Amino acid sequence: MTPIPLYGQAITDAIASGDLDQLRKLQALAESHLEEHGDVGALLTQLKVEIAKLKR
Amino acid sequence: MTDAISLDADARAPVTPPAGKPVRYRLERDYTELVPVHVVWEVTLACNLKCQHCGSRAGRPRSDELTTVEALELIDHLAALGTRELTLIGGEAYLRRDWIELIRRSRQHGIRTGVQTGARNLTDKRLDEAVEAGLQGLGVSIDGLPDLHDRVRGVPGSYDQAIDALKRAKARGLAVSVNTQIGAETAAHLPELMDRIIAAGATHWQIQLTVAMGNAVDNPQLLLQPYQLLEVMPLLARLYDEGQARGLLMVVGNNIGYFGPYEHIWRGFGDEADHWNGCSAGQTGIGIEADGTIKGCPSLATSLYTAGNVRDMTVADIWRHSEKMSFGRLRDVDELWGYCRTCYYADVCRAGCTWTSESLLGKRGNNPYCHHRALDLARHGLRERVVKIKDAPPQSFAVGEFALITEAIPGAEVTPLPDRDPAAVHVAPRQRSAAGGALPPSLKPCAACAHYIWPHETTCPHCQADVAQAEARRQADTERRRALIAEATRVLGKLGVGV
Repeated sequence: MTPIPLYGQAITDAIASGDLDQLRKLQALAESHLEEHGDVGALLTQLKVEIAKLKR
Repeated sequence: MTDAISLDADARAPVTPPAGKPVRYRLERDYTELVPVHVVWEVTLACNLKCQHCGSRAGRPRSDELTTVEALELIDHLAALGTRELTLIGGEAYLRRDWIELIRRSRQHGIRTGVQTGARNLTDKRLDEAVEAGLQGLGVSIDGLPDLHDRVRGVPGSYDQAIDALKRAKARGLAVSVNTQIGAETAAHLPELMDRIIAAGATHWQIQLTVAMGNAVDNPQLLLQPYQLLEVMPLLARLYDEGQARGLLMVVGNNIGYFGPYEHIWRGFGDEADHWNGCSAGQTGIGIEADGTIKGCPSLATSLYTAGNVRDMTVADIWRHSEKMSFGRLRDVDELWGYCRTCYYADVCRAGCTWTSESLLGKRGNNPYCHHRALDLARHGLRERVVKIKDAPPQSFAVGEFALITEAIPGAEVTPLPDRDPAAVHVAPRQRSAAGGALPPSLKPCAACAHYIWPHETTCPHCQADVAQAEARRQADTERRRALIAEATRVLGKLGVGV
């Protein structure tokens, strides 16, 4: 059951949870991975497009 | 206080909240067995700030503050009652000579221990000693950007000292938080203030409304008007979201609410099962004044809510047997009045924060500082504001009196509020334990509109959705989301990205 914050120090050991928080964390991890390694999915699409052009 | 309690002889089995929940999280047994989970203790009334809104009119120490022996014994008694978190406040807690001893004793009991401070002259030496004694958290009060903060706090330069203290506490490994009181001028400061406290290292931000008590009665222009919640609450919801994405968790205090469109985000930090369930004074919380006066909440008026003094009887006896302590365990909807008496949420809300409503109107049970209420009135072209009609006496925690005025919103078409039958208010059955405690009712959010509804509802009274159908759609959404989370976790894990 929910803690009721009296007028005192904030609940400093509370952490955000739930689907939104997890999705956000995963998004941040995915973005950091892309930043470091590049977007393989987009690269693959570009490769396919160029291959298709050459095969015309 | 006469009963000696040894440090290692606590009667209660250790209580551990569920994983991911703070120690202040209330368990069912906290209600049924009457555990004072969180204690806020004004250890001295001495203060080095001159806050225009100070409810306790702090400045000079009380003439008869507890001795060191009495204070340490009180901590032992609180530990025996099962207290899991202790917050030392003032005045300014570190102006009490033995404050380090109090921290050390609290930590020896395994109680999570923090200090809330204005941070003026919180020197490195003081911080180092507190950390060495086991202090875990430091909350700093900051009420706006420098001009506003320094004016409200009555000391030029106090903003800079507060921010500096945050940084130095963070560098020492303390959990660092900020408390901000919202008054009439504060809202415009909040976005930039959030940026600044994140930069200073704060991870938690408690928001409270300034309450009409003590010095704030002398300076009524500082008070937010109830109708201003219509602007403030959406702003807080936006900042909650932005803060969460940037590592700052907003914690709304007990006088922010209640059951408006954002209730599902305020209380559970992502767990929608948690919602406001009434004033916790005397149910799971205790407030202590520096002379040993015990109240159900640190902020309640001394003249109305003194439950006893630890110099006359043990805190355990006061906690279990004083009528002034148990009011919150026994009250029901019949003591509510005004709008709150016939509100849909009457039995679970009990008019929100007792401190706020009683200090304002002289009688608890009717609270205009409510977003649900402000929105309902606005739909009828109405709003509420408060006007001071009686000053507060000079004592600490003294209350004055304010008139509550309902008026037309300028330019709006007014339609009368419907007549609501007090007998039609839903009252949830409560089973009282042998100790005298009872679990508060549990509501659930409507899956269509997110407003909380009573469990028996089949049609949402707020959006008219079919509750079962909306819930089925939400379940499907949840399953799809969870599947994505699982898949993303698996893929990122294979890539060696830490999840």
